[in-house]
Amino acid sequence: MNNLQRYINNANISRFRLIFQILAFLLLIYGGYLSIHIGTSIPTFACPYNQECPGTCYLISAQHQLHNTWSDLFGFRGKAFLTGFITFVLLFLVINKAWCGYVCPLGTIQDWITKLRNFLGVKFSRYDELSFKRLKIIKFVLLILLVLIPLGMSNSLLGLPLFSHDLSAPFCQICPGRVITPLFIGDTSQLLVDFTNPTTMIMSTLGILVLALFFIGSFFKKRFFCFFCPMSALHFLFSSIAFLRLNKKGENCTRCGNCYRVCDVGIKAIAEDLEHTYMVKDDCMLCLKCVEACPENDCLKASFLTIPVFSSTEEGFFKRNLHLDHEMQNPSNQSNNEDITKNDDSKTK
Amino acid sequence: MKRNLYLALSILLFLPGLTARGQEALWLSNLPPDERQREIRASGMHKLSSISAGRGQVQIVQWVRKGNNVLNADYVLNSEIPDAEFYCYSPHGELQTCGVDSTKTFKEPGFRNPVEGYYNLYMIQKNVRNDTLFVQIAKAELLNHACRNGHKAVDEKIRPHIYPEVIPLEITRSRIRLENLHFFVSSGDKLTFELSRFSEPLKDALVTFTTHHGWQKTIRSNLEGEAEVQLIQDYFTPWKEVDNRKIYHYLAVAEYTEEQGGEYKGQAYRYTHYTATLSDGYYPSKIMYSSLSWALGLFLLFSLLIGGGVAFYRRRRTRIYKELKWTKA
Repeated sequence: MNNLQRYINNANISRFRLIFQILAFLLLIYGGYLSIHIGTSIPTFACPYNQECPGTCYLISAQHQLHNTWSDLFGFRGKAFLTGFITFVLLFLVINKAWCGYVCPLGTIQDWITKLRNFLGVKFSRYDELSFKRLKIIKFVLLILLVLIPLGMSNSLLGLPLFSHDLSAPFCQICPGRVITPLFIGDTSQLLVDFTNPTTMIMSTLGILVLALFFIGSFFKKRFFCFFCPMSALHFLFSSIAFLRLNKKGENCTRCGNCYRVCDVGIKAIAEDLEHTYMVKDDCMLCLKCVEACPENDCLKASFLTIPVFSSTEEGFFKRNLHLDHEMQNPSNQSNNEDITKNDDSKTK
Repeated sequence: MKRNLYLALSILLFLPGLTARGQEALWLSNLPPDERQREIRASGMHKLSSISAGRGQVQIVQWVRKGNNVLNADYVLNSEIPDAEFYCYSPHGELQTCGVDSTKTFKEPGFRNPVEGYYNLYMIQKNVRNDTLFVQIAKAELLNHACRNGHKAVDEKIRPHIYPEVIPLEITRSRIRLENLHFFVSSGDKLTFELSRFSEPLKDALVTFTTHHGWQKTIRSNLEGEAEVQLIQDYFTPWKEVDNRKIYHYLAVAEYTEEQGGEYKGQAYRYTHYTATLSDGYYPSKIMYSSLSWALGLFLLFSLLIGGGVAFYRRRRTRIYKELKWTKA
């Protein structure tokens, strides 16, 4: 057992993740060709606008189910909503936010765009601390709108008139996955501006704007879209009770900052927080790159139902060192923003 | 005079279906008459007309209409065809009770509490006139789907079913390759109707296709019993008035006569004329209200603006390199 644990701790989790992501991508984009069906409450982007998708992202199911009158929601349709919701939570609990880091096809596409940027030698960006704190609220705002708008289409909210039916599944209308995933099966039918009425025009134009932001943003900033993803916000609500966990032993931490530097979403708390043990923050996608980059024994540890799965070890760190993201080893590849962040931080300190 | 005679003879010889015409086609429609509009609710994604059947139950209903004019076809009254037979097959092929309430003004066949998938609803009306037995088969293929029920076994659910042991002439719309539970026919689509008699493809039957606004095309079925027609866009609304949620309706009428004599309700006949009708809804073509080129143009514009913005921001934040040299005094 010790040998197996040692083997895993020394393993290159990034390579494993890359393979896993490709397999998950193939499953969620082309699974329909094999008549695979994995349900309608999947806790990641599995976009049914792609006709060959083997399942349905929970966000679209939830938006449809919430588009009902109060009486229906508290009646027989409420049961369908509850069933879907419980299924979503149960599926989510198994691997926690690793759904984002290992399974999400949009995340995988963003990682590929990052690889392209690396290849082209373009510098990447990080948010400064203040922007980071402000921007992370957006995903929770989107999550609230995603719930309120479908409800407001069938019920008057605070005496407001009913919202237009053209706002049906509002988040899906601006989600880049709706356009991108069908493109992989050669379907361009979702790439359009709908001129039917002002609502459809605004929503479809907004969708195109978000699509452009997705591509350009994720070219300059790793996992750019994940920062605004309401699925990530929904995950975070249940993250603290999930089975797969990422814990930190503060007393083992030397604050070297490796974990922060390799973090694609730029969570500073992973390096600076020495008090809390549970380290899965709202933006975390449990990619476990931080564990991989940590040189201290047992400082960072991923566990499943308290069983250690992958721990940071000095031996593992040195074994993997050659394979680490070259950006970590080569700070010159990082945009000036980072320097400014450091300066700002030093000023605040 | 002689020319008219030739014309009449050619019609008699080459268009046998026409000899038996003179009856208006009966068809099943999802559109309620004005008098019933208020009671009707749209059920499921395909907006099937439904009425409440009490205690949370619903009844999907159709109306029998006559004539080829889709827009203004009359609704058949209950008293007009009292001996019509109705058959309703569930998506699993089970024959269900097809409730026709004789107290209602209009003929309204329907079925209760639908499950997911295609229902086949048929009405068969027979009568003898002159020496011909007219068999009118009105068919409706009704897809019941709600996303909350999931999307399992889609191919199985959308597959057309026929019932040759009961229905003498079947008309079915062929499914397209990527058709799923969310599929809607749109203007501009090519539709193929398959005709079959006793499970065998029926060739040389006349199929008359009529759009919502009255455009008509008559074609003959080929050796495989298929009749293909393009649902043309026969109306042009200013784009501001295009309603992408408006459902239009088409009507396909297949006719076939064969020399098959017999006796029906004490009346002898020499020929049997079959008419099978199928009506369904269609949406305006997407190209009427949406644009790929606009989307691509906007995407490029936004990308340039965002990319340019990032580049400009980075350039603004770049500190000019200054080389400092110290010389020892």
